[in-house]
Amino acid sequence: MHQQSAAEAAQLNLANPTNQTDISKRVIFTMGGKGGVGKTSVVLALAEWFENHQIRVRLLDLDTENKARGSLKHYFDGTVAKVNIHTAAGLDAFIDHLSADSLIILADMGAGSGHVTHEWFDSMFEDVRATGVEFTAIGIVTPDPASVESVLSWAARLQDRVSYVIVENATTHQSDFSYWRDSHQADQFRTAFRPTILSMEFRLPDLENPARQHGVTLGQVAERRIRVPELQRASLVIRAQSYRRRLFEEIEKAKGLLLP
Amino acid sequence: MDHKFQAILNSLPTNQTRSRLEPYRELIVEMRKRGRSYQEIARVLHESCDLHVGTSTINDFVLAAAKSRPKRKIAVNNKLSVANKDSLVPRSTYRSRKDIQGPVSTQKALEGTIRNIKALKDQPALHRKKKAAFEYNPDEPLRLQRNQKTQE
Repeated sequence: MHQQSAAEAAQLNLANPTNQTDISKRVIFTMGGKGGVGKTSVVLALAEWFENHQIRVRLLDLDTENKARGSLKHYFDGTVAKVNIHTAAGLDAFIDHLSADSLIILADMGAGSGHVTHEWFDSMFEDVRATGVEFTAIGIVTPDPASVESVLSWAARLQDRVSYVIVENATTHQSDFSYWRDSHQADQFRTAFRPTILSMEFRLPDLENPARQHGVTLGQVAERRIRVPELQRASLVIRAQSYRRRLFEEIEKAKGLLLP
Repeated sequence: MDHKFQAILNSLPTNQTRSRLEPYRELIVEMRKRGRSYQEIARVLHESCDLHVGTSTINDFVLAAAKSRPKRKIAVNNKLSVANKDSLVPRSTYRSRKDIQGPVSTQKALEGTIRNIKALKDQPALHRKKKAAFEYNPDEPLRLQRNQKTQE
């Protein structure tokens, strides 16, 4: 009930800009400790989910290392602001981009952005939260224990200043998430912060690799909005539709932590 | 003081006042308190006491009498007496400063400040580090719980 109200309020607010001070804002960012775990894929999926609900979000590409293919800007060129957070201002871009026409920021953090993020939270969080901004940290875990360690390290610094959404990204057909699901430390994290856990299923390389190569989203393949021959195969289009439907169903579980 | 000097001082005759107005000190001081001018005082002394003096003489006498009066003790709490320097400022200073009502209100303000300082000292520091809800040692490898159960 509460989640639906928040969604309705967000949509209502976007339709009526004069009423915007009555609603909080939200910054959603990936915990960017470990490279190659699928941070950008998750951000892409979230961006498409918001777009599907006609909720405007501000996309920030804070991954300065990921300059070409695979970066958020590669997929959404023109609508993505690329920000270098490795300055004294740190993540102040969060504040500046929460403008009148966007109540939600979706930020793709780069690998190795932990220090900057933690410092920024230590110095700015209290005052930014006082303005009505809420934070959601997206952690992506894979079978690789290093991805779990990365999420736990971030959580130990961010503590309860953010809400947590953990995405189990299956990087192989039968992924084993033992280090995430069964380790003592991960169990402590789940007990402390009760994150919402989502599954992102393994995608066929026939679909995933050309999509990355051409900077094409799942939605574009599913809706046949691209002219890439290898992605126009009927089976891949239906695969894309299925992946997207199930992914959106997973994201729905966390909508309370994704809407202001 | 040396006994010799003390003896010399004791042997000196009592110093007589040189002012003719000394017998009328009480009358003059009281008339000044009641707001009478030096001219009026001079007229009263002439008419009632048959004493002819100028206004400047009376003025000098009043100033000299004021100097010789013992200083008024200011009622100050012993604990505050050192800090409350404003209380020792001559009255004329207060008259020239409209924002200060007088020694009593200054005293109250000071007491208020001291209360606030004490309250601030007693108050716990605002930036105490919050206890972490979750602690993680990155140097320690992830421990699988099922392995622990098997070992037990």
